[in-house]
Amino acid sequence: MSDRVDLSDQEINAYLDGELNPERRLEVQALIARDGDLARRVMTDMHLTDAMKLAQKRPVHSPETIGRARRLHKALSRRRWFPNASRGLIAASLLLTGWFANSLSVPYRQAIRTADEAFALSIRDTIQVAELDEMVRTTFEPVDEKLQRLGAAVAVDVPELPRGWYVRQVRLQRIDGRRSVIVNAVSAEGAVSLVASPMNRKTSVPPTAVTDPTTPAVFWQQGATGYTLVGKNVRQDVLESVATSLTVASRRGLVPKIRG
Amino acid sequence: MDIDPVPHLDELWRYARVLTRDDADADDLLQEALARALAMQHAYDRARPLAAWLMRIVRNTHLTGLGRRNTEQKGAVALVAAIDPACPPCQVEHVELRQVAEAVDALPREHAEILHLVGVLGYSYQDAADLLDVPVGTAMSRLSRARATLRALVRRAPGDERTPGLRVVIGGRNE
Repeated sequence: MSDRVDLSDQEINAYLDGELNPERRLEVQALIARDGDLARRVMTDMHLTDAMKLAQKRPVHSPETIGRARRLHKALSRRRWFPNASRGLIAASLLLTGWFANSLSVPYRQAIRTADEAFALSIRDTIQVAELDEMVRTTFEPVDEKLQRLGAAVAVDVPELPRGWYVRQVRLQRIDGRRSVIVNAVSAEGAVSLVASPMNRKTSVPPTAVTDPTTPAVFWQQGATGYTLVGKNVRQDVLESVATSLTVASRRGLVPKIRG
Repeated sequence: MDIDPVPHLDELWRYARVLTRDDADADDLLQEALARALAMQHAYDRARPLAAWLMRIVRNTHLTGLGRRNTEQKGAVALVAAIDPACPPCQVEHVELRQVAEAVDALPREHAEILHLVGVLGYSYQDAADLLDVPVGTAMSRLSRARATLRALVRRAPGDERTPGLRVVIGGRNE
């Protein structure tokens, strides 16, 4: 009895060509072992395949063929290296271009950065000053306490004001980049303004008249605080006298109260 | 990945020889294919084997070039056999290499081609089907017919045109 019916031509070929899985291969081998006709058929195909391999001619290639193959090899080799080299060159070019552009733009970027920072600092300072002023406006606070608090906030010593002054306004304002306390008051001699500003270094300057034909003013410094007394309709000598009295008052060294 | 075609020249020539059935035509086909490969070098995917790419170029060059017309003319007058399904199991115990070579030359080109790819070069069915641009099932069927035809051709004694079970095919079509 033959098992040949179980195998198709394509399965026999798949066995010959190594396309069967190991399990089916064993089954086919078992069938071949039991079927003489099938075994001869398989052996014939194997024999013919081997003969085909042996019958292959060994060609002698012409110089033209060899030359074309070598040209192809060179071309493919160039393709292998050239893209890498070109990519490297492109990357280097981009790097140099970026470097060059960076160098060119440094001054502009630095200038912009400086301007931006200065602007931001100015805004921040203005907001802080405004916040301090806001407290003055929204909270009832005695004048002397306002003076001490704002003076402490900007690190200036504010002298005790003459008793005859009627203080109309106390505020903070940036003057020449310095946070200053400005007091607007009405004295017996007329309207006056006292400005107390932080100075760069400690020193002592006596009351000195500021030569201004339209607005009489006196400047003096005690420690790290500079004072300017301005009275538009006040005589210069009167201003100097007031300044001298304030100098004595500031020398007493008022210590701001600590609130809260 | 190996990109030197020189070590593959023998393999390419033998495939060209199967396609053209003539040594000189195989030389011409191989040279033409190499020139085409040079022109198409940018299409080569370096992740894939060079030999397989070149084999495809050899085949396409043959199918689209002068070699195809020459081969068709030769094929029109060639005696080609196809196996009768009723043919009993062949009893080929020993054959001369020359007989086999002649039988392969007498096979239809597509039969010789699939036998060469799978039997001689050891291509998997899938690789052979890819190269031939046919489904795997078609490649397997073609291989079955090719082996049956080869068995029949080899079994037939030289000069014997009356072997039972053989039909004469001219130009690849049954007459």
